[in-house]
Amino acid sequence: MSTQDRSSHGAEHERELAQLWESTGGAADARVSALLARCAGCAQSWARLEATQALVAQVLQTQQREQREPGDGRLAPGEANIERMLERAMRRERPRARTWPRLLAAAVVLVALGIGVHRALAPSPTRPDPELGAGLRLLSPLAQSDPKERFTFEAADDGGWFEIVVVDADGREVLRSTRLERSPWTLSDDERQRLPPVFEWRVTAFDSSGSIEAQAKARLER
Amino acid sequence: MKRLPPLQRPTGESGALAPAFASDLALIEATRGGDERARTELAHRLRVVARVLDARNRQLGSPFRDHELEDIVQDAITRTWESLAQFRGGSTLESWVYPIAVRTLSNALRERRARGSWLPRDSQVDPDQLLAQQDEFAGDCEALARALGELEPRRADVIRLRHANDASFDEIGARLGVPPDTAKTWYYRGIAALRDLIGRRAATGGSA
Repeated sequence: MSTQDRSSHGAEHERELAQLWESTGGAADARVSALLARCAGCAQSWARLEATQALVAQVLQTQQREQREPGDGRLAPGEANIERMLERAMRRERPRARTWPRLLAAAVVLVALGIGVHRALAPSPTRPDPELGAGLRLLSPLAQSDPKERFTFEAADDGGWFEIVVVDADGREVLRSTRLERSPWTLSDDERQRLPPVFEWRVTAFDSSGSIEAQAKARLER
Repeated sequence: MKRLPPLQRPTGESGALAPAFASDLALIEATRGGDERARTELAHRLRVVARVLDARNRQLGSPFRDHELEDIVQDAITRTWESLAQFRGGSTLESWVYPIAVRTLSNALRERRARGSWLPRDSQVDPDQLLAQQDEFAGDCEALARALGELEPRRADVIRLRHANDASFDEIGARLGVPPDTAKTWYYRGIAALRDLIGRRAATGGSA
């Protein structure tokens, strides 16, 4: 190692540094540590070499890992379509945001809105219309073809009770059940004969204290 | 001894390495000239873009769903095609497209973050800090790719074999037909040259 003044870092120091870098490759070497201790410029230069080496290692190792084909034969998203993508690029088509998921979502929303509007303006005679709560669902009758002697529904069993009221097209009460512990409510022959051509049946669920928990109704024709 | 991948760089009679990945350059030229077989081969080679994007997306906690990632792959392929005129054969095609893929995903993540629709899976991670790390890594990849392209080819080869393939100097020397000490010298001189090339770019804002 040179015995010259080490207070000024210059070309001579860089030459020595390069020689040590190539021959030792490590700051643990006594000759390297001695040089770095005596010259701040050399220490800084050595640190940059080590930082470059670390950067190269990080980038190349990450690249190698990420470019590797998965061993399970799985294809990455888009991997099967690269040639088509390349053809698009060659036609100078800029990539466009995929629109069909958005169009599909918009169509679903429009259909849902349409159904909602339709129900609001012209209530279907064959679909239940829950009004309150989510724990009550009408099962039958819901369609013209359903038998009309039994009214069945589904409800969460919470220790309460139910009541069914049948009204005609003008909303006048035609039939009222007794206090029901569970579904179904079976009509007598007399009650069945009193069913008007167009009617609505309404189920109300009460909790054990008599408070309304849920309501549902369906309108249909005989 | 480890079996190393071919360098794809033709060697001369003396064992000296040719200055370029001529076959990759020829492949691109043929594709640009309308050769359909070349285009198919190029597309096959560019599948690596999808794999890189998938790997990085997973590493980030899959912020992009598969159909969104396909759009990003398309973007990266388009950017690659638009940049191919700058390919000089200083590296393999796969190494050359890697920074493009990394940058494209980083940009997509930035756009998503700007819309406020992305948060890291780990709530302890600062999203802006993670985004900055992605940008910084993309910058490192770009700087290194450019610098390796300017490096003396045999030094660049040794550095790639050393780090990408985790090869020892004995293995590299055997692969290149030179003594291990020569491979070691090429490596350390290559790192020193990269330090200067990358440092100069950093000092001039990447325009060097």
